[in-house]
Amino acid sequence: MLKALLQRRLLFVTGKGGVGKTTLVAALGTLAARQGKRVLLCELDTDPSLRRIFGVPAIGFETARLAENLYACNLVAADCMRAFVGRVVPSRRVADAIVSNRIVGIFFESAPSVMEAVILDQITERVTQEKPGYDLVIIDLPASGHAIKLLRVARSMAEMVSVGELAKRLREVDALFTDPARAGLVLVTLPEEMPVNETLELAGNLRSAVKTAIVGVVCNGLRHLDVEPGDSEAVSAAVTGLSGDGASQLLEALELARYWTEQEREQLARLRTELTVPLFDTPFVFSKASDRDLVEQVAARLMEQA
Amino acid sequence: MSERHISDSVLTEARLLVCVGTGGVGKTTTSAALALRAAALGRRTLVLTIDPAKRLANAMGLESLGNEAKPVELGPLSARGGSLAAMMLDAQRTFDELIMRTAGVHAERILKNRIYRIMVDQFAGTQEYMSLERLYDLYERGGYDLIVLDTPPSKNTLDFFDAPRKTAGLFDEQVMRWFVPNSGGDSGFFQKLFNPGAAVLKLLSTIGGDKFVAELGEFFEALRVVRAEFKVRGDRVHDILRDARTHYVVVASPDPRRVDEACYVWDRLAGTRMQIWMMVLNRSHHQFGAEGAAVLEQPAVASALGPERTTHLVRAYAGLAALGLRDRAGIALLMSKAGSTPVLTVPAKGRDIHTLDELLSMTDHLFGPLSAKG
Repeated sequence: MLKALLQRRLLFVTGKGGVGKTTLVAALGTLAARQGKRVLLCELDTDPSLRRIFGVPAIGFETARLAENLYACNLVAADCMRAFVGRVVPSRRVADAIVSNRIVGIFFESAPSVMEAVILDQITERVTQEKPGYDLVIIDLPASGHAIKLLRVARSMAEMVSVGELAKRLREVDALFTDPARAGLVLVTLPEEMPVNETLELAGNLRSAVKTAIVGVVCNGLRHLDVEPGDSEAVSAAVTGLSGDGASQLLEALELARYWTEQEREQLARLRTELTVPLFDTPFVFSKASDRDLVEQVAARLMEQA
Repeated sequence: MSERHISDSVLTEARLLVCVGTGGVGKTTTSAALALRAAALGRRTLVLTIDPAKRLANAMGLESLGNEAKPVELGPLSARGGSLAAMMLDAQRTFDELIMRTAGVHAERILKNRIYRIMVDQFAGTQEYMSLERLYDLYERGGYDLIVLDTPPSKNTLDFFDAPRKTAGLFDEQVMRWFVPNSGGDSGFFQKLFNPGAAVLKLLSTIGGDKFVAELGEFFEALRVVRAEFKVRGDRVHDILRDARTHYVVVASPDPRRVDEACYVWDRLAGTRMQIWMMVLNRSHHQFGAEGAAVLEQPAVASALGPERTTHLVRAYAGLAALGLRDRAGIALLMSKAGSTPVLTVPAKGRDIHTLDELLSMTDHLFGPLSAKG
């Protein structure tokens, strides 16, 4: 399953905030790079988490090296705009003058969809450019709602713009994004009710609004405590008459563990039955682990599901 | 874990509570719980939320939440004369309504403009901006004593506060002048000498074709009509967000891996004139101690469970104990960040919050039980 996932050229990773998207991006990238692929991880103008995970000084528009075969960039709209205008306007000087003008900046920042369109342009550029050339580009998309907006821009802009450089480019973007052999979406979630609700809703919205194929769902944070109702009952009966804080602490812990167990099973079952795409799971890490360790543990579990 | 309570007097005095935090930390639940507590204290309260879990809507006795305020049936909790209503934001409808209200005869043309439609649908700041827009009306003439605002869940959660400024960019005088030659101001000699507008229009037409530029022009011209209204509202919302009776609640998780996000939110807020009332750390894990593990070693317990289950539960208990320790580190870090601002924890529970009673019991952890006195 994992092999098929990593065979694509472009993977978008999205999900509700706080479900571990960036950890997954780092883990998928690490695995693909170790298989010998040249991999580029892209963050989109966020507080850069990859930098922290890999302990590199900075990640910007120009790619930074994270590890053997593994690279990263942070695409900020203004830089993408500069790159796009640079390709359209032959004179570098004119292009720079236009892009660095304050008023032009205000216009582009506030005009609908322009910033999104140039980001998509730059993503496509990184996938298709021959030099340096990447086998796999993984995009750390913003949280669900914003991700749909971003991916839809290519289509809705194409409705408005039918001639010119942008139209040509939008057709290329659309062709790449909607080719299931080259591009796919990976949804990340947690084994809890609200994140799963949102994932199912997101999958529905993506299928109707965006033509990019959903190629996998990753459920992060499985605790695998496997505490059954019978456990609490047995302990509860056995501790009757025991004094002290220990028994109540234990029962409270078992109650929490039993609830998590039930919830995990229920939510995994929902994901399995309601989404007909490969489902991967990764473990919850109980102890205080570094971000890098967490990525390694997630990667190791993904490998088991290869 | 902190067992202390703080006074809930802010709930009786504030006009606006803004809950901020990154996604997945229980912001919507916290907003609902605070609003319910305020209503139980006798205030006419509205909770304005974005995309709550359906079961939360059900817990509040609502089939669904729409762009209209829906009253929540409080039963005995309304004894002190308070009330609670809930509303979920529909950004697109709010924007359309605003245009219809302010644009007069131009409204239809704006609403039909394709660029407008795309902006409403896709403009990244629309949801943030519109929650503020809705807030303005409700604050000014909604008839509520207190509004609890659950801010949109974006990674940079405080984009929200930039939304008025960002949208105002749409109405920049000079940008409009490119498209609408007579939209005000003299076009002097120097203006003509270096006119970025002409360069941009030429570029846009190379990029998108003349039709695109024409439509963009119509869009800007149409929006010019509602500009003054937007500006007034934007300024007023800016003031409301900084009012002495507006308080902020930072909602976060003690998970050390997410502490950075909370610190970021904190720094962004602390650098403004906004008053932070408290930080709420949801899903704080109890510090399960060695006493609990020792119980599993007792003969009566071990024989009731059998060796296999005992070993399994010892391991499970150790995992939970590790979580408590891990959280303690996160809580300590956030407490040092918060300085004199109270940091309160809400314990992780072995159940979902689905009823008003459960919401109310969440506030008991923050403020102590609702007192019996009226």
